Amino acid sequence: MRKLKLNHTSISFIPILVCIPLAYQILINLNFGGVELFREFIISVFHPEINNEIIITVVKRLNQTLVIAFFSWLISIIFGVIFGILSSNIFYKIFNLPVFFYSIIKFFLTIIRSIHEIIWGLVLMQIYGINFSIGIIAICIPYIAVNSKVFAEQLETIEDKSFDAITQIHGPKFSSFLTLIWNRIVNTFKNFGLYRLECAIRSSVMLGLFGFGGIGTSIFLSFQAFNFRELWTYLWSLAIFIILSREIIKKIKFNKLNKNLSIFLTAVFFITILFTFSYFLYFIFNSMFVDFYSINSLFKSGSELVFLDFLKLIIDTIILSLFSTAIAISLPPFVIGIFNNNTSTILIRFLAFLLRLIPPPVLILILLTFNNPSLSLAALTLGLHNAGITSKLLFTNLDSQDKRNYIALKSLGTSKKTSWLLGLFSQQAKSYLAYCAYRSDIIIRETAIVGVIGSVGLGWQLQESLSSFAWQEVITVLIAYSSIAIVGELINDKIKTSLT
Amino acid sequence: MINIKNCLFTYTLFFSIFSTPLFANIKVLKVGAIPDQNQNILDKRFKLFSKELSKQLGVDVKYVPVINYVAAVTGFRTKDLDLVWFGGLSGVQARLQTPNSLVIAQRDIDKEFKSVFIVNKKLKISPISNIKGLKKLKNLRFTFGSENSTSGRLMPEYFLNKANIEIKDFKGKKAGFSGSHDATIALVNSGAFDAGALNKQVWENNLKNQPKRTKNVSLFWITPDYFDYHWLAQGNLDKRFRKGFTKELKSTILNLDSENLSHKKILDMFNAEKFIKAEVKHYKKIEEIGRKLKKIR
Repeated sequence: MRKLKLNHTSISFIPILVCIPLAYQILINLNFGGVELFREFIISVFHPEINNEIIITVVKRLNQTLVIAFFSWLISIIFGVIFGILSSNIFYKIFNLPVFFYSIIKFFLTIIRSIHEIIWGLVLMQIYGINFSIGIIAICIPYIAVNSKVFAEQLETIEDKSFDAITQIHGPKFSSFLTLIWNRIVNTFKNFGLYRLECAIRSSVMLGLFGFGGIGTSIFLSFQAFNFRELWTYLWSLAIFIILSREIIKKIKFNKLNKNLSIFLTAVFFITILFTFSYFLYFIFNSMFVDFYSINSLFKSGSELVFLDFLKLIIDTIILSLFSTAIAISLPPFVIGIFNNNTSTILIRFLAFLLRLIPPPVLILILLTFNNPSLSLAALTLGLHNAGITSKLLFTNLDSQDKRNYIALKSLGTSKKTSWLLGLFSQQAKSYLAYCAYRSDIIIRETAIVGVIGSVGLGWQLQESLSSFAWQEVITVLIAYSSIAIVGELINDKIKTSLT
Repeated sequence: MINIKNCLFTYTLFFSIFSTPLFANIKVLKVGAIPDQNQNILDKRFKLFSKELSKQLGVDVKYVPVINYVAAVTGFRTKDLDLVWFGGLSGVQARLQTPNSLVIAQRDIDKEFKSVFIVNKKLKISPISNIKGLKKLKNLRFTFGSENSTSGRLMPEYFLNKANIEIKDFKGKKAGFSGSHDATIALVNSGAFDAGALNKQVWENNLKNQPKRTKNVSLFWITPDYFDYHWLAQGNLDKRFRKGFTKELKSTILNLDSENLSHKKILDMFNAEKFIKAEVKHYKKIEEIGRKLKKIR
């Protein structure tokens, strides 16, 4: 047998091997006690509850979700632009500022980006209690950092040539700066800004699952009461909502805007944002001063974490993210490759859609009825959810690809599977892997979500420490989380550069 | 082409609609409760209770649903909630974190509250009468209720420890957390877990009203009694509403009378005959156990 050659295609498939240890652990813990619950769950997929009362609730809850998503999106885009400018090298070149600030801002943004919005939400909820604004702030913090990274990356692609050309005019520094960056920012916003609104909607649903209101809360409550029909009413309405909003977002085009109008709109945006921001500042400091004393006393709580246990939690979390990334990378090409015919493709697409739709916390709760809480189960959940997302991308790319090679191979008598692999997938593999590398950044952060519910890793410890109000432990866990995410991001950056 | 006027109009409209929740009225008595049961049941119970309070006290009373125990404790600490129906443990946690807070009342049943251990019938495990019998639960798949529940986690874990059973003795070396008492019954009934522990009140209610939900479950053991649920109020209500308000509030709750038809409805929903006085000292034992199990630091 010839040696397996390492190339992008084989690398996309090798990670499927993690399924062996995963399947082993899941199989030895398997029990069929949950069959009845699962049957009810599946039946309810096609039989959701529909009556006046529930429709009113759905509308109300979706509205809340939208409010949180819209506000956090707006704020995070505007501040994303501001911090993006502040963390781009061009800003420092033009204004001759010390690079020292540049590194500080970059570092600061990397840290707040490394922690998932759910964790921000849980921590902020402990400090400020239940408040409408907490959801918005929780999403804003990491989103501002992510957006600013994207904007900064775009600004840093400005060529030295145009920079030199502009500086040689010796115009006012601010206007030459604006001239340089304006187009980049508008273009980035066009390509990336609205996509973030969709992300914000997903995040606000997820926050809802942890008690921040909106449709997420309804999903969680109906699931906890095992009211599956109601659960599916909410899930389907969420699906319709997401699809509708995506279509509407696609329809919005900025091309027809003239410059005056866009400047005017920007001004309106900024003013609103300043108002909103001043409210948040007022909110944060106002409540901060009210019970600063009581928060202070909370910090006296001791930490009971034993070093070895803590190390184990960290290792668990790392393994969890590696395993789920492996599933998210390999499962889609594996399944699509093996079941390569029309009927199966439709079925796979539908399954992938369901996996994207069902939030991971609900998915793991369903799987938990068949299994004990374990690392494998959490990895499977997170892996499946993300495989739903990566497979969508793979399908889109495969659809738009030139199929001549595939047809040629097939007409030569090569089997369908092999011609799919060599004729279609092998050309996709590189960009697919690059996207997966990007996705794995997100997976590392998402380990927190399944950790909280599947009682695995740092996520579980965080929940336990939070519910015991042990703040020192919370801070230790947060630092560990943040470090893992930052190291992961560094490694991924290396992989991404080698792939592109 | 997008019209500027339309843009501005939509924008202002959106902003004004969206920002309404930001301006809340401070003259409202906000009632909360730990989410230990189905939200529908809690909604009905506390909305009725709030209506009665509002009628008798002449102030606006609003029930604010809370999705987890910790949020209830924090909401009370940050003064987002004025009057909260806490469990034993969450009540102690909230009181320790909120200076000047007052224990208002408890139900008649709360001074001798009990938990029950339940098992799936298929296992054919016979009920026990002595705490030592809990050893039979070793190597089973076991679930508690919510992590911060007194009757669904704290006390059951305390009694398990007393019988020399640690969490790691269960199958998978872990115990599950179903999230609520009702969920514990559903999970054990379906066979997803072999055994679980929950509030005796909820168990009896389910036995009586939802026989289908409990058809695969049998009672395993009833714990000795302890103090549990109670009303906790902020210490600044007199200042915020009027002089003597806290006293009025207390007597309103204590005077709910099962002879009165509308009162009886409320009391029935609380599974109580009446509310009785509660004192801080009743919860010393819970605090001790909470500290021992590291739920209070």
